Amino acid sequence: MGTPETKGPRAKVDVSHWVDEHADILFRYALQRVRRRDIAEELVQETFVAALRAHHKFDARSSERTWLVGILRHKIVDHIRRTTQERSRRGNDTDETTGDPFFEANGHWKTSPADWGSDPVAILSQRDFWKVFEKCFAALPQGLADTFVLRELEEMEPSDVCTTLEISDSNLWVRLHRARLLLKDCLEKNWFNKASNG
Amino acid sequence: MSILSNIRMILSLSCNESSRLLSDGLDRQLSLTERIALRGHLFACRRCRRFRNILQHLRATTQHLTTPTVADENVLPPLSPEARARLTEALTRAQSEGS
Repeated sequence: MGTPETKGPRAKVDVSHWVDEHADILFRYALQRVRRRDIAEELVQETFVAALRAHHKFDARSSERTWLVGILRHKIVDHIRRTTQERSRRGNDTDETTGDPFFEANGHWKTSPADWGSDPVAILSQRDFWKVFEKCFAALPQGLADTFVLRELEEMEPSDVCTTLEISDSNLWVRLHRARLLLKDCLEKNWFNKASNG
Repeated sequence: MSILSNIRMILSLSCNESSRLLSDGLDRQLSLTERIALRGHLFACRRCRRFRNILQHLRATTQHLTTPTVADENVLPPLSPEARARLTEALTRAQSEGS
C-alpha cells in the first residue's frame, strides 16, 4: 500500500500522505455515525492528532487504517456518551411520540409491510438505494439514531450500549424496535413501494 | 411469568408484540415461551413474515456499513477541501511541536 515504514520511535510521519490515504475514509465513517459534518471533521482531526502523538506506540501488527479507525471509534463512542448526558441534563432526552404510528390499538399492522424480496444483498450495490437509506437514517430522532449506531454499526454488545447511553435493557429493546420500524416505514415510502424500483 | 400468562402469550400474540419479539430476537435470546408464541404467530401471519424478512434486509444493510469502505455506492461526501487543509495544518503543527 505504500505507507511509510516507521524505523523507530521518533520516525517522522508523512502527514500529507496520511491525510491523502485515510482522511476521506475516516471522515465518511464518522459522518455516517454522527450525522453532522462539523462534528465528523472535529473527530477526524482529533483522531489524527492523537495518532500522531501515539505513533511511536503503533506496532504495525494491524494496518495503519485499522489502527486509526480504532482511535476514531473510541472518539465517536465518547462523543455519543457525552452528548447523551448533555441532552438528558437539559431534559430534552425524549423521543416520545403520541400514539403508535404503526399499529392499531388491537395490535394489528396499520399498513401491511411490503415484500422486500428475497435478496437483501442485491440492492446494496445500487447508489440510489443508499441515497434513500441515508435520507431515512438522517430522519431518525437523535436518541434512536445513537442507539442504532452503537448496536448496529458499531456492533456493541447490548449491555455496553445500555451502559454508554445510561438506559435499561428494556428501553434498549424498545428503541431498537422503534428505529427499525421508522427505517422500514421510510424505506417503504421512498424505495420499496415506488413503482420505478424493483 | 406465570403459566397462565405464558399460555396467553402463545395463544394470542398480536402483530405488534410479534414485531417486537422479531426485533428483540436480533439482540437477545428469546425465552422458550416467546419462541413458541412467535413461531405460532408467524405460521399464520404473512405480514409478520414479511417484517421478519425486512429485519434481515436492514441487518444486511447495516452490516455493509460496519467497516469503512471506498465502495462506489458510497453517497456520503468526502472531507471538504477547507477541512482537509485545516487538518493538514493541525497535523503539521502538532508534528513540529512534538519534535
